[in-house]
Amino acid sequence: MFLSITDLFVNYGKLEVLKGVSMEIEEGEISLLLGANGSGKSTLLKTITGLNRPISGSIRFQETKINGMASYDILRLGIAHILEGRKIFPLMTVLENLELGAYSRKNKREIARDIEAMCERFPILGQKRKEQSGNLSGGEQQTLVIALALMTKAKLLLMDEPSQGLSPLLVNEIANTITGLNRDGLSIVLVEHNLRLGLSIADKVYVLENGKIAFEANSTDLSGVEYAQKIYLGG
Amino acid sequence: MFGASRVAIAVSIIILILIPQLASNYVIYVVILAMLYAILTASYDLLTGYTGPLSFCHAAFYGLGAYTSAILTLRTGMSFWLAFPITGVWVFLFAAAVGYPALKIRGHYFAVTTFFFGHFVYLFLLNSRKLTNGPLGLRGIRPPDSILGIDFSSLNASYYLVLFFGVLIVVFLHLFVKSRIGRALVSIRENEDLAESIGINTSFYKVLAFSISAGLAGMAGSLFAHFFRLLHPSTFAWMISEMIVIMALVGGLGTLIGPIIGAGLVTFFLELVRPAPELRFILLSIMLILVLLFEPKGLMGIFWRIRGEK
Repeated sequence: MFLSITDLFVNYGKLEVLKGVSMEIEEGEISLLLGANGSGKSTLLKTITGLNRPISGSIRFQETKINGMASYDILRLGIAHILEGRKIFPLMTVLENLELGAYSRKNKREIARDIEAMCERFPILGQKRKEQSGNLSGGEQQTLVIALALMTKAKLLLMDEPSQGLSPLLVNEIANTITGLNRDGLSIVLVEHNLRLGLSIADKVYVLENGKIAFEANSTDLSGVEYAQKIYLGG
Repeated sequence: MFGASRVAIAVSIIILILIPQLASNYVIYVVILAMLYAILTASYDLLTGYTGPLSFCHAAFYGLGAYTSAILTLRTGMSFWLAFPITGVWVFLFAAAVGYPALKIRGHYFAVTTFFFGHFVYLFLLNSRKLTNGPLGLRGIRPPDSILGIDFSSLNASYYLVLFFGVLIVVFLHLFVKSRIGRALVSIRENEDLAESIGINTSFYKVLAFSISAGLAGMAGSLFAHFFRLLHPSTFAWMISEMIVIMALVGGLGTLIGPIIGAGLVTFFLELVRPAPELRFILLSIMLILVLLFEPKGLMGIFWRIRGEK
């Protein structure tokens, strides 16, 4: 199994956030994680990449147990995490951001080649490579965030709300980017409030409720309205 | 821009080299003090300016270095030339041991922790009479042994000694912040979570920056001890830590050159108001408030604004 989570419990102090989450994610799929605010979606992603420590349960990535490992070691195994809220290094140039994305890698020639590839894939980054990234527009910053994560050479990308605060036109662009990456072989776990975006690209849907996976299905099984009911009215 | 700043640095170094030939002993003495503060602010900038954690205990490491070096040479008869690097390594290791748990605390909580740590070191120096001679101060510290016939008990030789190591330390810091590791430090300052998510071992690098910064402050302390040859705990009290913070802020954090200029300016400013000692810290505070209100990037910010850069 590609990513396998078994009976995961996570607390913030005394507050129980995840209460026995189990899920199996297959290679090459886009998995959509839905749930109301505060249901623990971001917590789950953060726990997978070692930013939170679980109380109990296990997370295995390609048969390696990763819970308890440090974030930078999990990244080296091939899981990258795009944090919520469009996080970049605002005072650095686009190019410097991309270089930092490859920080855990050693091969300089390969890194230079990948930066060129990124600038071709996302021409706007190529054009603005010397500009301070804090001055880019919201959509451009989100593109940079994705490119930054791709520079880590991940096999699995966890994305937390990539469409947050973007105009509908840019949301479509992000959707195209995500499907494009998936076609090139990247597996993706997506947390997204924009149901239309999420359902249009996901292979599988998981609904997180009260700290557990309340429901899982193929994205085509139900309509958007039915998913919304499951999330907000209970599965 | 790059060419102009190189010329400015070269001119400053030439002026610094010429000062002992041209100026009075009093001026030489003040410039030595300014250079020691410049080492302190530059090393402080590595932690707070480049890496991010706000620290209020830099004078504690300065004091640990001064007392370590003095006690090593007094008790064991060790030469300054050996005590100086040993002091640097010892303060580095000590800071690593303190920084490893302390840096798990983030933000304001870390700043408050360093404040109390700084005060703790001061109280330790003040009360460990057997080791430090407490409030009576430590006397009889020898100047560095002469090498190549240079007698380091003279003011001019001390001046050049401090200048030499000061330049060496600043060059080291410059190369360090420009390196791959330096880039990682800046990424922690700009966004620690993101830095962690792209595979940077942020806790390791924070402790590294803290320890190097402290080790260099310790070496400045060693230079101070063998130049003044009299140590008193009050030289390393919390007020001095605050002064280092103010100097660095006035010059412009995260620029390396800014805090060095800040150290120079504030030292001379404090000399100017020497006749009214109670006014010194009031004026210093006003200076700090003005900087924070009008140009948080300090003098370097004003400089960039004049040049039309961001």
